[in-house]
Amino acid sequence: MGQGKPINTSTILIVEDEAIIRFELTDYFQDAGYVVFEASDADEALSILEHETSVRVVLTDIQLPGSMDGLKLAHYVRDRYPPTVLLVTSGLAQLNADALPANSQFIAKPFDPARMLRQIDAMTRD
Amino acid sequence: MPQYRSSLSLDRFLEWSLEHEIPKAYRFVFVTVIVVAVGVFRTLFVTSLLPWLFFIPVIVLSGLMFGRSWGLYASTLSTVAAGVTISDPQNPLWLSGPQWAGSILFLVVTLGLAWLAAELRSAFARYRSLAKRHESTNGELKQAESQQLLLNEELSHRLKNVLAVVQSVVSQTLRQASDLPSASTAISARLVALGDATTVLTANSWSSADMMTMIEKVLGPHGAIGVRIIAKGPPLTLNPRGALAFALALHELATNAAKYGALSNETGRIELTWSVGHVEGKACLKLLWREVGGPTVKPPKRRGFGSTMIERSLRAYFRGEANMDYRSDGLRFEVDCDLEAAGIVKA
Repeated sequence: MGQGKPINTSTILIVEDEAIIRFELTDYFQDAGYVVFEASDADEALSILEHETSVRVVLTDIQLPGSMDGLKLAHYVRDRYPPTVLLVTSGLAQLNADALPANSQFIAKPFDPARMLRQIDAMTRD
Repeated sequence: MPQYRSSLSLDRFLEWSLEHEIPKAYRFVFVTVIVVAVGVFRTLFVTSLLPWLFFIPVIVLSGLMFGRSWGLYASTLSTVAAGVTISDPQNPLWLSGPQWAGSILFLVVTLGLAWLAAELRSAFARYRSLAKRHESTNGELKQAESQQLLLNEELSHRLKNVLAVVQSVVSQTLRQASDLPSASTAISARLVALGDATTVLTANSWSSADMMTMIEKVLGPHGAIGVRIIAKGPPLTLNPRGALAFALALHELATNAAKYGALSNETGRIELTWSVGHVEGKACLKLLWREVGGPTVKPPKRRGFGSTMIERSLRAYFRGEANMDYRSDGLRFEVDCDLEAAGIVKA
């Protein structure tokens, strides 16, 4: 059984190992009014999710160092926290849709931040 | 299995004979027995008017199957066998004049046939060898194509990541810039630093970057290495992950030094030193940027992209402490981290 999460918060967890990219995403979402948590790998992300119950959106890179990559993390989050809005990013041009967890979106790098925000808004409304 | 295999029975027969090495003794027995058997068959069942006809397939077959010498042997033996089957013991010459003429003619013609059959066999062997080489070349080409495809995908992936880094650097610069002209200048200079780091990384297939090479590449344009910029430390290879951030940090420090610090006058210098030590059995890296002989330093009223990025990114990439100290006698920037997070010491 998954654990329920509140759905009326603007809290995002950004999981990205490339720190320069993570800083920019953090600043961008903070400017957009989000409360931002950041992690450089899946273990750090899981620890934050365990303690911060307000996280509503998870944005994760696929290539992450450590025992769990971004795709496995996304599947884990979908199973464990079903209402979470999931965005999976990568420098890969395409990703097999079957590889993504249900109700998640793939965003290719480099990002179009405005489009990303619109996508999150749309997914949050659904 | 080879893909060029033909469905023709002659091809199959030739292929079989080329693939199976039959010992000479067996070949001798095989050809001799077949020729004798044909001779017996002809004597028992066929008129003496056609003494040579049935030997022709045996000669051709021998040339095709075993090569030239065996074809010639079959031809000679067949001539003798045919002669024996039509010979007259009462005749001191064994054969009549026309029979001798026929036998000699048969020998000449079948020697030619045996030679042709052997040439056909050789040509088929050459074709087979070419086909194999062609198949092998095709295989190599296909492998090269798939490697090329993989490389393209990897290059695209890497390029997109670098573009995302560039996007972040540009956005961060614009976010903290006071005016557009200065932002434009800063972005261009930072992109040059990223380009220099990319050059060093690409030289090592993006797997590592030599510390000294990176320093010379990024800091070289700001001041003479060994004169205004003294770099000293053990040979160190940086991880690719932190190399870009380190290059950006060096660029920011050097730009700052050229504007306000040790490189802003004629006499100041920068001492960039690094050393490896051990704390609780773990290898640690200490890096120090120290400006000497520059004008008196005043701490900035507002921290811009440069100093923020330097501390923030090096802390993240090198997983350690990164601190900037605006001392009046010269700026000091120190990094203290696990060696493993930064790179490895070269043997």
